[in-house]
Amino acid sequence: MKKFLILLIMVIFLSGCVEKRIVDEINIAIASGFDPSDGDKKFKTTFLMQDFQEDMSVQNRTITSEGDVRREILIGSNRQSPSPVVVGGMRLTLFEKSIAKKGIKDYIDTYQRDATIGTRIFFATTEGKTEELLKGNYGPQGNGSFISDLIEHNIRQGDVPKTNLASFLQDYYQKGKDVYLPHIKKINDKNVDISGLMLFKGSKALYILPSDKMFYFKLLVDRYSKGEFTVSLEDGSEASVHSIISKHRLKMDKKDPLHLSIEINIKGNIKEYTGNKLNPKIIEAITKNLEEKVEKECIQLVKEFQEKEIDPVGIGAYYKTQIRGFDYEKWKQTYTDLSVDIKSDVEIIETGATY
Amino acid sequence: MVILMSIWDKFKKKNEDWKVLLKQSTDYQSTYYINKKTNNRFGFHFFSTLIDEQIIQESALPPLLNEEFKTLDDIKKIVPIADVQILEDTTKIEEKLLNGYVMITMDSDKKKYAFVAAQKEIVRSLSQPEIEFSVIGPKEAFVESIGQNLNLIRKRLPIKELISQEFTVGELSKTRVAVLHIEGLTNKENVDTVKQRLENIKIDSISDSSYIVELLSDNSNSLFPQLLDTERPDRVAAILAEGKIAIIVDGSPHVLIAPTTLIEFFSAFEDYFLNWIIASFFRLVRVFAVFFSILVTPIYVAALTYHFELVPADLLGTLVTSRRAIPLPPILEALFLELTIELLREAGARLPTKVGQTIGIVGGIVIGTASVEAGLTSNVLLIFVALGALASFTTPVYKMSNTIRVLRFPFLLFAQIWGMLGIVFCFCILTAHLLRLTSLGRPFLAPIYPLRIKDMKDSVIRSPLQNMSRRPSVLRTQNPYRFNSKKAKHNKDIDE
Repeated sequence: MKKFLILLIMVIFLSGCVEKRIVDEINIAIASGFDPSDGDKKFKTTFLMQDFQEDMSVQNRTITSEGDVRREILIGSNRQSPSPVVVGGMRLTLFEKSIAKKGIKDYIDTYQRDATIGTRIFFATTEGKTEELLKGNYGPQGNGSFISDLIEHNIRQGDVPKTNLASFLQDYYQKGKDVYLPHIKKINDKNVDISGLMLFKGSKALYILPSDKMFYFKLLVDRYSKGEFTVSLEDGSEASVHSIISKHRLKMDKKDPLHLSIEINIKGNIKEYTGNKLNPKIIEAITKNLEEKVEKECIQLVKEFQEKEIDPVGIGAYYKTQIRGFDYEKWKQTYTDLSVDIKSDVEIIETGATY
Repeated sequence: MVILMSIWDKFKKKNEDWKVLLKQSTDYQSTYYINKKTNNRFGFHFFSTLIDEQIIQESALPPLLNEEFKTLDDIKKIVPIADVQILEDTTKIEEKLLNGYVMITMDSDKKKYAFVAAQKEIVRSLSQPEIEFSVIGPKEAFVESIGQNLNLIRKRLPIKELISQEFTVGELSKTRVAVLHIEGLTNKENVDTVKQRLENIKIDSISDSSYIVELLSDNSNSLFPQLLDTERPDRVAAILAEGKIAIIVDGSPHVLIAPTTLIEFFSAFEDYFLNWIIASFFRLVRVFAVFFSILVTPIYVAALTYHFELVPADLLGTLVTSRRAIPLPPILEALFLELTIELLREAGARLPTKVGQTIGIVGGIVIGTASVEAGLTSNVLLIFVALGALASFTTPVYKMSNTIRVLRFPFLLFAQIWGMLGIVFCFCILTAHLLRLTSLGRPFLAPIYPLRIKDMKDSVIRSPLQNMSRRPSVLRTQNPYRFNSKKAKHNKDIDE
């Protein structure tokens, strides 16, 4: 009975300890964007809210306010909102290019500290103001869902390597690997486009990898489970390789640690061929063409990274696991001198049904 | 207390003067006859409502009137009835008369009393099981008579080891309670526990076996029934063979099974008549239904009140639009609907069957849709509550399904107070309670805790009969093997 009383008292007195957030009495921000401030504040934030309509379509509403710390932004946003703004439902955060160039360290700190924000949300950088981008009208599912779905399916099936908050933070805090984020551009009021990948050096954005290099970049840093690539042959015909599954492996030369080889395995199906008849010879030509192209482009990319002293492939992180007493400061010097060669192995598994 | 005792003593004293009391009842009859040959006067004393007068008229009276007999002992020779007893003990008179015996007295032999059995047995005919109905399998169900029920069980277990021990419980009702077990198989300790507890029961009257459930339970404050009740004789026969104990209470069509486990309440006996894969699937569905039924509305309340992050982004729109016009917070909305369902169930249970059917229609269609249209509840919650109620009805044992219906209310309360944390808290309390619960001293949560992998074969899944060669180890039966599994396994072709 005594125990029961204690329990009862506990329940009564502690019942107010949890903050109530009834789902229809809060304003759930689905996306946010950081822009440089127009005034003298540090930055300007745009929250994208979803207004659910009776027919289940979503009306976009944005709230913009300026401030020096994120808390200040929330207070400013609440002044414009009929119900408190909460960030737990966030799926996407955008950084304007100039903000990213100054460094996003301060911004991501709040994301890892706030337990209500999931680690599977997407980060992206934008060409042009995020406010403008979030104010578009992309579809009935709402802009937040539209952009995050856009990134998600391109990670799963397209050329964008995997980046979400969890992997971003892991790479960011890991020595010997630099981060990258998809770069989004607003084409018009109805369309957005992933125009490339923003490569970071530390927390600062460095330069944009154009979208046509993304295929090779993904081969180097991530794995494909359902990629697509078109190979042009010498005779002018083209072959489209589908359902690409790729794996890559870094291999340090044990005798000469300054030599690194990267093996890339690609498996795929030929779904389309513009030439006449597909015979083993042509398949071999396609294989060879693809291999050469991958090797050429990838080595170019790695050299480019070495020149700019960034390491999105994570070569440093790999070396850390291979060398006892790895000295990171010393590694920074040697990274640029590292000789890298790329071996790719392409295998065509299937060529489709022929009659 | 003292007053009560004195009243009781007075009542007892009066009771001793049985003739005076008996004669107050109008259905107590005493008639005297004279034997034709010896001119001896003898009397019949009986309750006309308890005896079958046909037996007296056809079997008892003619020989007593026409044939020669001098003492009461001669009655045994001339009356063609199996159960004739000659007693000198006056204390038994009352009991025998009330059990449907006809007492014969002779003026010449006043010290002795002869009792002739002439019970009138009004037994409901066997019907189909209503609560534990099965599409396939036997269709017999227990009735209110202990004799008939014993007959149904003995037919299924024709072995001399099946022991039936009878007790009388209830100062006034004198209810006959039979404890059944198989000698040399059932754990002696369990049998002794049941016997001891039955002997210790102090109560005036027993109306149903449910009384025995409450009086025999290890923890009668628990929401969970600790004795399984069944109306299927085949189930009772099966559990007796498993090494458990059956308790039959006269006047109740439900036979009790002890000791039992939580899992047993979710196994319908029909599971054994179906293919084991199908039966296992159904059992898993039932176990899922329990969790679903208890947790669905509390999780709805917790998620909508505290944890909107838990709601998938695609579902958020549906939830928000359905709740927009509703003036009540999620908890009141949920309580309103849950109470509506409870009212419907209660009304349906109390009303006569034919009227009860309309309740379903009124409840389901009118109240459900109307409350959504009136903007009192969201249609999403209406679906959840209806599904939860439906899920709670899948539990095969009625008493357990009631427990599940009640259990969700504390969960709802805690979901409102602390959100998900409250649900976890409540779940912890529930688990702790279940862990401590015992049935006749045997763990109630077995074989999950204490973990008995071998007993898992007949728990949330029902493995093939050939694989269940051991009796449940928690029961600690005297013979742990049902059959020799090595010999049983091979199904040979005829020419092998």
